[in-house]
Amino acid sequence: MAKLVKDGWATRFGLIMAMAGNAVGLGNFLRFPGQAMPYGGAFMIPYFLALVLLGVPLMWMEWTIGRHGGGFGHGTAPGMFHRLWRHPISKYLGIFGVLLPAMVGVYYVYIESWALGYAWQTLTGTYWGQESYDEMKSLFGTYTGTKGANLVSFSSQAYTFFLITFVINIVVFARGISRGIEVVAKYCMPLLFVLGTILAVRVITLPPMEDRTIGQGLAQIWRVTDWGVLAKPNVWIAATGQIFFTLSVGLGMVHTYASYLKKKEDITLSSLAAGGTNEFVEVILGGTIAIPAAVLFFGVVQARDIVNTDGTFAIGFFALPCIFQQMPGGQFFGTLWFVLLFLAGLTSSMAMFTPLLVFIEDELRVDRRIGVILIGFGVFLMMQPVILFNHYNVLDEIDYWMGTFGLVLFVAIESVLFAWIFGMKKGWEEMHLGADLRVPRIFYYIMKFVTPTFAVGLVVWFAYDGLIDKLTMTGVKPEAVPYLWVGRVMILMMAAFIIWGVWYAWQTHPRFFDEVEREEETTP
Amino acid sequence: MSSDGMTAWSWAYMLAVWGAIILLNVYCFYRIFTKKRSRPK
Repeated sequence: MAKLVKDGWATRFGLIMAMAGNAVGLGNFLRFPGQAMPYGGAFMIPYFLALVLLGVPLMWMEWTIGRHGGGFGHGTAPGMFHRLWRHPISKYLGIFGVLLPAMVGVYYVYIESWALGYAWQTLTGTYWGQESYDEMKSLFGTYTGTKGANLVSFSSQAYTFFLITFVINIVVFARGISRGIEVVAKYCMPLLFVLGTILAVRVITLPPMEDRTIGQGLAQIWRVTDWGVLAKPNVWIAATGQIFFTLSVGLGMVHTYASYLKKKEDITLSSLAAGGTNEFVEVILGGTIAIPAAVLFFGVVQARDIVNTDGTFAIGFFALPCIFQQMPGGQFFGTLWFVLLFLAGLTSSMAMFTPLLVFIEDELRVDRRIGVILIGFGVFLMMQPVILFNHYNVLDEIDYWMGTFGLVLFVAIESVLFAWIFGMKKGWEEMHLGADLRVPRIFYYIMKFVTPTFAVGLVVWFAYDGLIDKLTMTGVKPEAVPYLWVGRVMILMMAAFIIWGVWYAWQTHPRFFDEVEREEETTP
Repeated sequence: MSSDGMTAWSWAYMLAVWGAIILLNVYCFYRIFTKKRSRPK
């Protein structure tokens, strides 16, 4: 009887911190407040509805799919989906669970490196003296390469910090689950809470400036000024997208992490704890730092303008550095802010290449060390166009297809597969094996009817709302088109490799995993 | 306080949500840490 010996979680706390770290990312501190601000306090209504009706059910589904598949020796979605639905197509539907995190990782590591670079620049006071918003915006454009007019555009300092960030990520994920990811999560997540709390308390206790108060900043997220926004589909789409994004569902990473759980190891309570931790970081810490500080220093009108015109990253990378230069101890708090962002990014990115590595190990039977080298080399090559051609928006192109549309599509596939094809009754029983928390029965019906229906509806919405324009590159500058195709070709190459890998695995050892019994079933 | 600041309802709304999130975390971690054995052999 074949039996797989796998790496695993050493402690339950480590598992929860790793899962929470996977969810907690730059988006908790930058994307969330930026999404909420345009709608005011009304945003939190669809946000929490999406959390309860979609986010939490999807977390339970993904943990269940992951643990179930892991019991049969599959650490990634292709094999897991094959176990849910014995149809030749099912394993190919699972390729998204390997493709999406790897391709998101290709650009996410570069973004994460900006935080490390800015932490260093803040610590050393490199940009001190450039106190206006426009100066910081220009500096950011030069640093990240978005301002360049030449064929390639990047700064050597940004590239250096990218290399450091890349090496850190590879070292962590190469060390595996218990010795790499779990160790980093166990130390970085508590540190992240401490840094976030220090910054939140500092922001809340800032004295009023002229007629501006912190209360005005908090009001941008908590005060309901117009209930009418709830009638607009955009607010519901924005809130749902934020929930998917923040919980890191629909990417395949949760599946892989959960595949290391034992058959009767709790998932209902652990996943809720990981989700609750993420919400603490996002709503309480993330909602209290960037926007309130920006409103206090810039005023409501300008802060709104910044978010609407330059996006949410502008608050973190343009506005806050101006503020740090004006506040007492700004260099210290500014460094904490960017270290906080870096840690949030690291705990997410170190999960992103894990599904690809596990796929290569589990399904292609490639030695782990060779897998790490292959992925490190391949991903590094793919990162180069993202960095060098950032001024042509290659990063945004990959982000749309993988981190936005691909994510929604994968959520729809997995929720339909779990609730309707595998069957909610079996799914519910599987979910409650060894459960420390009996989930209220109403979630059975939510997971059966609401979550998959809403997820499919979202795919239809995306198809209706700009997918064709995006596909045909409507409105894109002609000179940018070849570079965006570079991004697309990279996606297609990675997808082709994974599709081939699935085909190869099932051709060469189709019965192997059928013979693998769950570990517990063979353990006396 | 400025007219576009937090109202009493806004504070109550924010603190209620914060309270709910903190309670959820306390509940989950209390259950996890007070369980004598959470991992099967």
